[in-house]
Amino acid sequence: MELVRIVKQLVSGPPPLDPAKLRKAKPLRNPIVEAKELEGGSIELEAPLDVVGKKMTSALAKRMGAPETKRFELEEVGAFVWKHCDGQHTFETISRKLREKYKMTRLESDAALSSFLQMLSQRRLITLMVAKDK
Amino acid sequence: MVFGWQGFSLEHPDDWAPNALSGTRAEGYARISSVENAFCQIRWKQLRAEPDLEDRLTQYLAKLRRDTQKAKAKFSSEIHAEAERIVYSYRGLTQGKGCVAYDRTSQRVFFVEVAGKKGDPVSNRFGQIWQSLHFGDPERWALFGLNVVVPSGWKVTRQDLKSGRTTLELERPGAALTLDRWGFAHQLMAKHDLEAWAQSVLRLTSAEMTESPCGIELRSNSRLFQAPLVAFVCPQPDRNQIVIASSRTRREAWRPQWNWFE
Repeated sequence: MELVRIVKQLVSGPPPLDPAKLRKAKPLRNPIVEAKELEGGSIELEAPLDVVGKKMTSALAKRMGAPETKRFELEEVGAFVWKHCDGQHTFETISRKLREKYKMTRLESDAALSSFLQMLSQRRLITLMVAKDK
Repeated sequence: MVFGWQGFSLEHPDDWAPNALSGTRAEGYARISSVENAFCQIRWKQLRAEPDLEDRLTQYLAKLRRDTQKAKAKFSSEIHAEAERIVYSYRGLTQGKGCVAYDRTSQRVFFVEVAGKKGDPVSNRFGQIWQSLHFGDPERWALFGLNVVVPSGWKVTRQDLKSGRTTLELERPGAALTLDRWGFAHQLMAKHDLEAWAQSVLRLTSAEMTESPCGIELRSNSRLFQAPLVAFVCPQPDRNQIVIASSRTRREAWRPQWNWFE
């Protein structure tokens, strides 16, 4: 049965996070990502790019001037969320702070935050720390 | 937060949200849910003759009883008839408190219930919601931050509920009305001029603009076979949102007014 579960996960990807677990999850910034504050409350993130491949491929990439870092700009609301991804604030807390600061409704803040954290996670800019099942 | 739909409105806790809306003014269903298990559900149905409320309630509780007994759990219920309504409560797989009442103005019977798992304060929540329930004219259309009071009789033709934007399209003979709520007003106005932004959003290439203490009024030119578009754009900085009511009609009575916005 365990083998069946593993195969299913490989085929269809990991199951979505249970909403109750998501609310208690704590996003944590990737320490190798550098953040620089810009005017107007935005933040620019700079993350090193992985160079995949053996020595010759990576040397060729360098010779052709492939960038070594990738930049992302987060506008004011995204920057607000980024600052709270410190491993201390839960999803629920960040959602509540978004509602207080930007007068969002609960569904708006939950949906927008979930989508934004998923995007940051896919780009390896954050990790989502989820409590293990006891 | 206010929820207004199909001729009735009520207040619910700020962290609850509508997550099921179906039907029409004549018959429909709405559910407003909390993050956990508790929720409020409203059912309505138009009936020509005043119904036997107790009979309807008995049928509903009988169904709940059958469902509970199928799950081999105990079920108990209480009914208490008051002047113009019947209040009930039940305990089974879940617990609930509600009320069935008949609104003579709209000729509709309403079931309003708050339910949750054991231990949830359904009784208190029901009391708060019931106290705030309002039927009739003027009608309030309110959900996800949008809150507009309009003359009665509009019919919803489309709803678009997105994060940061709520849109309702309504119609009646000879008139079409769109109610739009845009979140993040401060962030929008930091980058755009209100009039230019509103013209862009409403797709008005040229419009006559009138300023008012409540916002701006935009009026497009009248064309052959097409009534002019009149839009009232109301920034609400305390709620960090902008609400737009725009209508196309030749009748002045169906055009937006500043007293529609709250």
